Amino acid sequence: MTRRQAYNAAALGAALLLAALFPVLVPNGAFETVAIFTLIYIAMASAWNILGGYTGYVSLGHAAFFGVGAYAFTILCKAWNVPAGWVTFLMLLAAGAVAGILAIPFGWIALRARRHTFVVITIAYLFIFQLLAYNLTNLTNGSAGIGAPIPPWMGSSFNIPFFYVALALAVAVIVLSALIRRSRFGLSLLAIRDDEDRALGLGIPTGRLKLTAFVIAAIFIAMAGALYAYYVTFIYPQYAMNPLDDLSMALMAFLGGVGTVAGPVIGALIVEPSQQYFTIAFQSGLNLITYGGLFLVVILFIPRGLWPTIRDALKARAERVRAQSAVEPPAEATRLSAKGGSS
Amino acid sequence: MPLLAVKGVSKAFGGIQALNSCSFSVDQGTVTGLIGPNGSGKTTVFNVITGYERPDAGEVLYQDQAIHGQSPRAVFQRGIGRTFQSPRIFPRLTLIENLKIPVRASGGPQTPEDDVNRWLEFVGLDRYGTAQAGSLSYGQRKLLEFAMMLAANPQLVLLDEPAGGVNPAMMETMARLITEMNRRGVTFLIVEHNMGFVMSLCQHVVVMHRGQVIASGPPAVVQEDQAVLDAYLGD
Amino acid sequence: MSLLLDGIISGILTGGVYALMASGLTLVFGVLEIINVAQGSLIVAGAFLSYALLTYLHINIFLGLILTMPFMFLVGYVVDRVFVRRLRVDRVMMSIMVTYGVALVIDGILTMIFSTSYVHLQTAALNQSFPLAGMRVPMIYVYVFLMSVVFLLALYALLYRTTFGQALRATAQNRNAARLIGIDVDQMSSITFGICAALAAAGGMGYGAISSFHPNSQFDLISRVLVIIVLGGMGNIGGALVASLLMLVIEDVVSTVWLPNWSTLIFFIVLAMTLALRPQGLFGSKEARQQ
Repeated sequence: MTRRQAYNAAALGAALLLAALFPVLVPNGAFETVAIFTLIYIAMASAWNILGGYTGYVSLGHAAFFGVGAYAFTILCKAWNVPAGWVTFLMLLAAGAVAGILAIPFGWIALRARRHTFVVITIAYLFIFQLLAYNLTNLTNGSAGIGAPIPPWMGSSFNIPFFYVALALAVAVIVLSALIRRSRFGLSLLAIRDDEDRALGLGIPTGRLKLTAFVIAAIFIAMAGALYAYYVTFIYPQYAMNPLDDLSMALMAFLGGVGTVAGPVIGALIVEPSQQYFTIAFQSGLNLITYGGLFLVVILFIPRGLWPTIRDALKARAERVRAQSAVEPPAEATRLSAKGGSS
Repeated sequence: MPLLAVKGVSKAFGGIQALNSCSFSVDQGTVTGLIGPNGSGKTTVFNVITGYERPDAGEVLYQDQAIHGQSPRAVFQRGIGRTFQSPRIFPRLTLIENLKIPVRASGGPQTPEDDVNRWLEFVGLDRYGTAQAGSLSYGQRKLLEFAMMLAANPQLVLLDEPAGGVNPAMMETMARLITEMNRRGVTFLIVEHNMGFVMSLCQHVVVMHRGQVIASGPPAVVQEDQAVLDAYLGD
Repeated sequence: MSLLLDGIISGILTGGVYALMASGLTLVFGVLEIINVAQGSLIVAGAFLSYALLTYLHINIFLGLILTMPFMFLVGYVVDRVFVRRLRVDRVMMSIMVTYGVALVIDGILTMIFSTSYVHLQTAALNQSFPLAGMRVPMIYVYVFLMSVVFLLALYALLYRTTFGQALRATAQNRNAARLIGIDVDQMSSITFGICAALAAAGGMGYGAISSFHPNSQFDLISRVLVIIVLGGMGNIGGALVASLLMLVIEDVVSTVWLPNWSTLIFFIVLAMTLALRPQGLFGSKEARQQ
């Protein structure tokens, strides 16, 4: 282990410890709620990034799978008479499985198209699922909404189980995202992003790989949806299948740095708490203006996102320091390596 | 038995007949040149061979097996690599990552790290291993694309204008690398406009004009061919 | 049988409004090579402008277009100048992000001014109707349809009968080539975006006259209009017209003859099935897929 790796591991460990101790350090129900939503969004944005960031297939429809997860959780809990409690969290896996199976045919159809056509098809998916949620009243109870099992925890202990499950889900997705980024699979996804036809011509089974990414994103977003359903205990079509969620996932990834492991995490850490704050602090309407304005500023002024911008600035500084101490570095090599790296 | 045989291949785009019953073959172990005036169908032939275009008629045989109409991926996995006129590398990946991309179904799970470095060294880009490929110059991109082909250990490599748009020093490097790989047993089919490059490198030259092969043979013979002169001078 | 006819007639009449909204969007894609996701909110903004003029100044909604269309043209022009023109790399994807941001801001402004309750453009014409094939057709549907036809003809004349239209079509074919022959491509783009927004104002008025709306209607609208232009082949105005009529007729026929609740779902399922078979859309060229 190099010194840099040791430093990174220590920083990650400290962050995780701090996150785990959050309910102890800040024993405040309102803050805990924000923290739980933030963790749910970290999981969602990171899962979205495996498809949208690594392969470059920007989906504006994966919020549909959030809803699928929420409904699958609620409906299956009812159908199987799952008791409310810790064991109910196991149903997240069932919700993920349902979404994963549904995502295969839907992903296959959407991925036949590229770029903007893909985006439009995914937007249509969101509305297809939303309409299904409204209309399949036998299953979903339509616009009247449907209730999930009522969690047995009371008062100040209510948030705690949800916090740790959300944390576990977020960490699981981040770890998966990092493992994929380092794997041959991840490298192939990045190659698809840069030049799909060329990747195919170099022996990469592009169709299979991008469908896998589509399904992975759907599974974890659905698990986040299931957790959401259990936490809020009652779901409606317009909130479970919300077009704003699609944009939130994209915004978080783009703000932090799309296609990087850390980017969506940083993005979600900034966007979700501030969005919650705007909703409380500003009148309805003004919160949308603020949110939209933030979105515009990010896209126009830091199109690469915060994390790559900061990282490159740090790297460039490190290069300068090294260059000052070294004797006559090869000028071209310095220029090239300063731009390098995208892990 | 030739390594590659193109037999009576035709291909039309709209009303334009890009290939009109085009036939030629490439023998194992040779460096074969494919020349002809602009628009004579050379790149279309490449696209048909490598699965990017489906021929309207005719067949492409590789080691006596039909490969036309297969996907680019299937063709690549049979051991046919190609480069593009304008190099197609993965600009946002590092050079090392770029070299890890090409995979042959038969050639093991992943190109080992040692191999990647060896190929980078081979084309003289080892200094830039961790740089993003998008920061390379045009000529360097051509070298990287060439190395990517070689990393997959192909038997036949199709090069689309390896000397186009690069400086004389780079051109010499490219010629040296082709000769070296040919010595190691790789067969080459090269589309190139630079006649000096073609004539010095190729043992065999195929000349195309208006989608057809009008001459083929050793460079010295082809250069004297009346039909070739007519085609280049315009008629 | 009369139900079927009913569905077809109302589908054609409402299809005209969608054709108007879709033509602007597909024109923007053709000329700017971007997707304007803010079109839904521009349509709603246009509807609210007509609503404000009607409610507070008692201006007829058709006459009001004389004010709302130039205003929305300016809005579109400014949106392109300030936001879209800055996009240089990966324009299609980035434009979706940027125009979505614009849509949120417009949505927020409308919510602040008009709150989030449903409104409807109440007009005298709304209450009149005339008999046709055994049903009663509200006059407003006919007026709105005629208005759509007039604006679509005007758009056609602008594109195919003026030198400006020639330059615009040249830009749509090849931005770089257009630049080389001295066309101010940036200016062309801003004007096109303005035209798109002006058509959204007219389309929004038409939409508001035949159905109720609120700021959040933009999501429903943009998804439908996007579906139409994808189905018609991105950038293909004729394709957008055919796709508008086709989709609305299908939807209205399903709605009147069969199941009202499922009609919109049919709309999206037709899209998904069509694109599964033809990823380039009904009238798109094969190349569109390669981009």
